[in-house]
Amino acid sequence: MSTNLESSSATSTANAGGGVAVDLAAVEKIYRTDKVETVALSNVNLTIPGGEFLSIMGPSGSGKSTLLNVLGLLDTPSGGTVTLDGDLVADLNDRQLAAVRNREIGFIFQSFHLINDLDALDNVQIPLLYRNLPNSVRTQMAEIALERVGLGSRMRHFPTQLSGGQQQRVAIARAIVGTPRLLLADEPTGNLDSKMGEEVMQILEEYNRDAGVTVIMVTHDQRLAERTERIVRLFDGRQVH
Amino acid sequence: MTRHIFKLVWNRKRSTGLIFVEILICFLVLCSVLGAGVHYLGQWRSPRGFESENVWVTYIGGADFYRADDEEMAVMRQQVAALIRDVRSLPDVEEVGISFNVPYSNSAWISSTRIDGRSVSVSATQLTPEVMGVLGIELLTGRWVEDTDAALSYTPVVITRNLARDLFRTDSPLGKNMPQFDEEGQLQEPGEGDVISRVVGVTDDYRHFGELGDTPYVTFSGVDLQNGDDIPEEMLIRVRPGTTAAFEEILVETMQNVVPNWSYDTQLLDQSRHRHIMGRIGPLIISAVIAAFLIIMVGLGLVGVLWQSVTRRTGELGLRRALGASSRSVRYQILGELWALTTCAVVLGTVVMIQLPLFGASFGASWSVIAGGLTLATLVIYGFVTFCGLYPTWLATRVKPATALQYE
Ligand SMILES: Nc1ncnc2c1ncn2[C@@H]1O[C@H](COP(=O)(O)OP(=O)(O)O)[C@@H](O)[C@H]1O
Ligand SMILES: [Mg+2]
Repeated sequence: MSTNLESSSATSTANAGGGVAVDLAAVEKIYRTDKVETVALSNVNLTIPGGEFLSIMGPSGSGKSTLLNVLGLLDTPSGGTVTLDGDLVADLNDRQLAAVRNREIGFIFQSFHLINDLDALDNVQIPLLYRNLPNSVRTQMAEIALERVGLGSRMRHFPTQLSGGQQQRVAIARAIVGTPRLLLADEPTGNLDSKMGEEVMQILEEYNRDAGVTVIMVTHDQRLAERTERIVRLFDGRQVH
Repeated sequence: MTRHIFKLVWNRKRSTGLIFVEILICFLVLCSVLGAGVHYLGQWRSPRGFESENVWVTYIGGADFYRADDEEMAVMRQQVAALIRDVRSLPDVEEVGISFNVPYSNSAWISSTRIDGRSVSVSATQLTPEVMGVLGIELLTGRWVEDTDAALSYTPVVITRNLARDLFRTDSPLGKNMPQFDEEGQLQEPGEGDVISRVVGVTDDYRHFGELGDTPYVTFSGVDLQNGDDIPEEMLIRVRPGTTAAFEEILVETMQNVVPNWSYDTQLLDQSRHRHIMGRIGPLIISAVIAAFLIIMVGLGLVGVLWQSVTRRTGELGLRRALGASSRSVRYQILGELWALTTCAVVLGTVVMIQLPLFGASFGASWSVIAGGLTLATLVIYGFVTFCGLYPTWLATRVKPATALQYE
C-alpha cells in the first residue's frame, strides 16, 4: 500500500494500478455503550478483487454502513483484519490512514455531508487541500470532476441552492476528484427519486468501467443491485448467502 | 489552504464575528488589568529615593507658624533652632533636619510649572541641608542646599532627575533659571524685584508619596531659619543603628524641655510607611478582586464561545478526516483560524489602546506601562485561545471519523 501511495502522482488523472483489492477476514464490530452492546458486524469474510463493482444489501440496521465505514477506514473493527492491496490496515498510524483515505478511497455518504458555507467548487476541492497542490491545479481538477457529474454550470452554487440530486452529485464529484482506486457509496440513491438515482448509478458504472476502479455500493434498490457484478447480503451483522 | 481557511472564516461571518468580539473584549480587559498590574509593580519596585530605616519623624504641633506676626516669628525661629540643636546633641542621634513634604505624609506643598504647554504639579520642598543625610537623598550633579543660600541674590534650588529631564531635556540644568509663566501660560522674563530660582543641583527622583505613589516632580530649597517665614513643622531624625524604641521618650522629653507648650507627635518613619501602605492597599485589593472577576467573566465567555464553535464543527472535522486530513492537520487548521482571528483582534485592540494617551484618557499610565500591558495581554490571549481551541479540537479528533460524522 505504501509503495502504491508514493508512486501515485498527485496530479495523475488515470489510475495505473486499477482498483484496490480488498480482503476482510473474520471482521467483527461491537458498539459498546453504557448499557447495551450492539453487535453490528459478526464474522464478515469478503474478498473483493480490484476493479469489481459490488453491492451490499440488507435491512435497516443490518450493519451495511458499519461495514462501509470499516472499508473506508473511518472506523476500526473490534476484531478480524482488513487488508487493502495486501497491506494490513491495522498497521497504519493516523497520518498513514489519512493518506490512504485521501489518495486511495473516495467516500459517498448517504446524507451528502457537504459544508454549507462553501460553494460546490470549494466543497469538491477539500480532499485536494490535503495534498501539496497549487491552487490553480486544485481548481482545475475540481472543475473537471464537477463537469463529469454534469454540474459544470452550478460550480458557484452553495449546497442550499442545489436540489438533493445535485447535492449528491457534488458529493460524488468530491469523492472522485482525487481519482481514488476504491469508491465507497452508502445508499447514494437512497434520498433521490428514481430518475436522479439512475443518473447517479450511471456515473458510478461509468467510473468503474472507465478507470477500473473498485466500487462498493450499499443500496436498497434490487434493480440497481442486479446491475452490479455481485451482491453481498447482510442480516443482523452476518453475511447471508 | 490559507485561502480555504479565509473563505470559510469569511463565509461564517456571524460566528466568526462573535468569536472576534469575545477575543477583542478579553484582550482589552487583559490590557487594562495587566497594564495596571505592570504600573503598580513598577511603582513598587522602583527606588523611593530615600531611606526610611532608623529615621524618626516628629510632627511639631501647636506652633501655628502661619498666623504668627513678625515678632512671634522671630521667637519661634529661635525655638526651632534650639530644638534642632538639643536633639542633635543626643548621643543616639546621627543627624537632624526639618522639612516639608516628608515621606508618607498625606499632605504636600505643591507649586506648579509648565512642561510641553501642560501645567504640572511640583512638590516644593523646603528643608535644612541635613535632611539629605537623614534620608540618604542622592545628589547626582551640582551641589546640595546650603545654610548660606539665603544670603544669595537668587534662590538656589536642587531639582529631581525627572524634573531636570522634562524641563531642560538634554541640556545641563545647572545654572539655569526655573522658567516663569504668566497667567496664560506664556513663558515670562523675570521682572524687577522677582526672586529667581536657579538650579544648582540634581538629585535622584524623590518619591515622598512612597512606593505606591507616583514619581512627583520635586524642587528642594533651603529653609531660612534666620529670616524666613516658611518653617516646616516636621523634624526628621536619623539615629544610630540599634537604637531602641525607648529613644522616643528621651526625644520627646528633650524637646519638651526646650519648648514645653508645643506637642511632639513622634513615630518611626517605617511606622508611617506601614500605616500609609495599609491605608492604600485596601482599595488596591478591592480593585484587584474586581479585575480578577472581570477576567474570569470574559475568560469564561471566550471559553464558551470557542468551545461551542469547535464542538459544533465536530461533524465537519470528521468529514475532513474522512476525506484525508490527518488529526494533526485538522488541529492546525482550527488553530490557524483562531490565530488569524486573534491577530486581527490584537491589532485592533492595540490600535485602540495606543489611542488612549493621545486623548489623555490613559489614567496617568505611561507608554512603558501600556507597552507592558499590551505585551502581556498578547501573550496571555494567544495562550488562552490556543488552549481553549486545542482542547475541544482534540476531543473532536480523538473519536473515529465515522463517529464524528454522526454529530452532524
Ligand atoms: N455509533 C454507534 N453506536 C452504537 N450503535 C451503533 C452505532 N452505529 C451503528 N450502531 C448500531 O449498529 C447496528 C448497525 O448499524 P448500521 O451499520 O448503521 O446499519 P445499516 O446501515 O445497515 O442500517 C445498528 O443496530 C445500529 O443501531
Ligand atoms: Mg446505513
